[in-house]
Amino acid sequence: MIEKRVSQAVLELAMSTGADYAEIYAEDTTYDSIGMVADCVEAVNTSRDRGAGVRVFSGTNSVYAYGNGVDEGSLLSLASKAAAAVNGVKGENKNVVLAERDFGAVCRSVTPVSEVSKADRVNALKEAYFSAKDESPRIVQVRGILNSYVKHVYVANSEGVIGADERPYIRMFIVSVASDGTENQVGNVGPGAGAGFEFIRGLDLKALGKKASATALTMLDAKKCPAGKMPVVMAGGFGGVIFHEACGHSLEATSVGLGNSVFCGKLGQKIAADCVSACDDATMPGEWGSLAMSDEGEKTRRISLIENGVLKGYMIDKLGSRRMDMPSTGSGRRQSYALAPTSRMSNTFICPGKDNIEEMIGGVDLGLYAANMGGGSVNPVTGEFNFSVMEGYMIRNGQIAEPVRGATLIGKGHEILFNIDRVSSDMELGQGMCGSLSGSIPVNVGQPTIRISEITVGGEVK
Amino acid sequence: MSKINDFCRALGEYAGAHCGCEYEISASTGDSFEVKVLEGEIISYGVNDYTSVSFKVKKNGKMGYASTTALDEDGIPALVSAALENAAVNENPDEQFIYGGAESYPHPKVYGEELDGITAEEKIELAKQLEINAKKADPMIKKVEESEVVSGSGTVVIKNSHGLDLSETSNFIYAIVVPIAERDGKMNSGVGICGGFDRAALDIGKAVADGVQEAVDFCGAGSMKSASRRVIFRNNAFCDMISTFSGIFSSENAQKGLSLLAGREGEKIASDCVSFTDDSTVDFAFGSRSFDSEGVPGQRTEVVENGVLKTLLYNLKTANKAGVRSTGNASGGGVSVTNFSLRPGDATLGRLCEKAKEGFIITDVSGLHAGANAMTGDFSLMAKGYKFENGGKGKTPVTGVTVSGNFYELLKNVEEVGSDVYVNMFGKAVSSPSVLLSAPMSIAGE
Repeated sequence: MIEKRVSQAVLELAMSTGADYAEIYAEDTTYDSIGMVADCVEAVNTSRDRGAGVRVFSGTNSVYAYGNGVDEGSLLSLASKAAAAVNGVKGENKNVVLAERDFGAVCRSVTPVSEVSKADRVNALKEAYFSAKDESPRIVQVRGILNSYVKHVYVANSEGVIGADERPYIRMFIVSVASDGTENQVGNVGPGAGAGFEFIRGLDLKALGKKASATALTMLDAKKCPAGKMPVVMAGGFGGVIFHEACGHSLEATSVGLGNSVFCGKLGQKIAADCVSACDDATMPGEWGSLAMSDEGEKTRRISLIENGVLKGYMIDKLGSRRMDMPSTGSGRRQSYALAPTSRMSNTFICPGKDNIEEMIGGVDLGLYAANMGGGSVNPVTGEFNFSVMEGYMIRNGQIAEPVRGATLIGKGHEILFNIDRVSSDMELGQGMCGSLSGSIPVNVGQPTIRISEITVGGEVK
Repeated sequence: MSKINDFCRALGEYAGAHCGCEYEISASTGDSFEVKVLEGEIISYGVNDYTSVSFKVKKNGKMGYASTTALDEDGIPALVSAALENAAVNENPDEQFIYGGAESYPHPKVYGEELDGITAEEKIELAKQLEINAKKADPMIKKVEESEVVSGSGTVVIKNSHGLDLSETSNFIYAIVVPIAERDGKMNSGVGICGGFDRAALDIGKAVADGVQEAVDFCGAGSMKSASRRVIFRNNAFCDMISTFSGIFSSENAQKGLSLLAGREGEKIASDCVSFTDDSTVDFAFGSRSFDSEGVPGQRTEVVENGVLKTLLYNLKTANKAGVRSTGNASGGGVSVTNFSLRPGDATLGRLCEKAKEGFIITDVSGLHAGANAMTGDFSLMAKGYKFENGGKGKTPVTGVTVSGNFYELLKNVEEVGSDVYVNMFGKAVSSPSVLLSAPMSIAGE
């Protein structure tokens, strides 16, 4: 994307006022989106986003400048803006010697979306859409979206690395709205991958549409969830959002490096029940949260976060590494060149355990079964998290009973991790978008079916 | 600006020669500045500029869209052909419009000249002051997670094949402080924000006081027993609720069956004391603009008057379908609010507490992106606030509870609207006073 000699000149200029690290990040991304609503294809959009940023560090201070030009003049101008903000000592000229590094690929597109006609893409979306719509006359509206994009990333830094990564992404959403005339309920599905159109061809699109509508219809008939503290069994897959919110964000250098996390200084200590082990693994082939090269030009890896309840590691980016005086774990990510990178999750999940699902439900007299989760959020300072249950059922006398809606689970991450008392062997991943300081990025959350012995469920107070 | 003007001119010429249909070019360009301070040092500093161009065609009655931030003239043919290709698969049967322009446009003040005079050094100093003042404000404040000043300016341009040629330049500045209070090993953060279009709007004293109070008050606060209680939504929390559910007033959502307000114009949808206005013509407000994303003049629209739904908000397409005029609320490809406000009443927050005698003041709701459903109106959200007795004389801070209900029901249950207007500075430009609800709500805790 950028000539080596240009990168070299830009990095040297960026460091000319005393910075001890400089980095160029450039990207060229083409997004394609096809939207359906009211049985029609509309909102068809193609957009290209290209730009570059230059970042410099002076100790743990960081300066970032970005713009849309990737030509020599634009990049040099970014470098001089960044350099101007560093109040270092003008020392000798720093020589930067760059060499290409091959990071391999963890996500490939076998059938690039650009090689599939718009008509074929539309047909795939329609198959899922109409399967959802035709499920019941009570399904009054459906929204369908097929998003795909390919991100070409280039990084060069003063450590001498030049790296590139091509990242294909594809995701389909179906949102079904069920109505009885006065009330609406929704159900949605949104499978995604770091892949090309072959991912969509491999999905059972009819089943996907049916699933979204089935959730909406079940919830339309559901009563409000009763509020209170109770045991909760959470199905695998997107249920992993609990770990993402309750623990994952608080293990990012963004909060740990500034001393703002409840998990600061707890490496080697017990932070969860014995049955809990968890990882962040950006190297899983073809996954929604995977990437071969971090947005800071480092090789990504599998990070062990918790082993048998003991805190083993944090997710650390380059700046976090300086603040924490610990090596980076290749966790630097960002939405785009318009934001400086920071420590982020990739595919983060609770590892499979040994428990039996029937046994864990069978042992609950009165509780909640969360079949499908919505999103959530967390305050890493207090560890307080919240997330919504999209499809829930009461558990009565060890059996899954009537559906309930409007349930929200809240708690404190460091407390809830000790309350996990069962972990099954059926680990699944679910796709989501995660928002933090460096923007919105694709991540997988995941877990096997787990049981939390007690958690606050928000709902209707009788 | 010259680069973007050159690109738009070249794009217009190419489109005129190759499209054989109506087209429109929208461009935006601008710059931004941000500085973050920690322990007296600049830990993050950003200087940025951006440009982007969107292109839309109306071919055989169907719209097609494409956009780019890469302003290379050799990319123009690809941009145009992408838009044409996208128009070809568009099946929306509604009549679409490329706007011919209006006779006159409002010109709300959206550019604060005074901001041009605030130097980078002053902004750095302000960020440092935020941190220093927050630490001085209370002995429990041991550190400040974030002390940040952000400013920027931007220009939007619309040109189309009917000769429409509009542009408008705006700017802004804001400061944010996130103090962390610590007591008995427990930490809690609070947020204070200030900003606007002149120096006076940078009221860092108020931002610090707000952030510190939230951090200190709720530090070590616990949950409470689940109960059904009278509720007051404090102004900022109700702003968040309105902002999240503002899509129910969009004609586009209504026409697609995604809002329960479809076809209910003229009906009572809220209690008598509820009136909502959307007004993009106010001077120096974050949602102000002379024209919307289709080039239609901005205007003031009474959306709800004394509880009665007067109109939904429209763009050209949805207005044509409904047989009304656009309200100038086009945004992107859809419809959105501009400055959307709940009309204030006379009572202070204290007076609302007296009236309720006992209940719960919700000061913050979180998890809105997941726990609130704009299609159904249902919400179940993590909240914090003050449990109060004796008309507000005994207030206990409470965290870790959830509040659940339905926004449509909430509108009907507003008993009184306060006088203390809060203006949202992030996301949608919504403003609201505190409101007291007549029916109790479910507050779930221990």
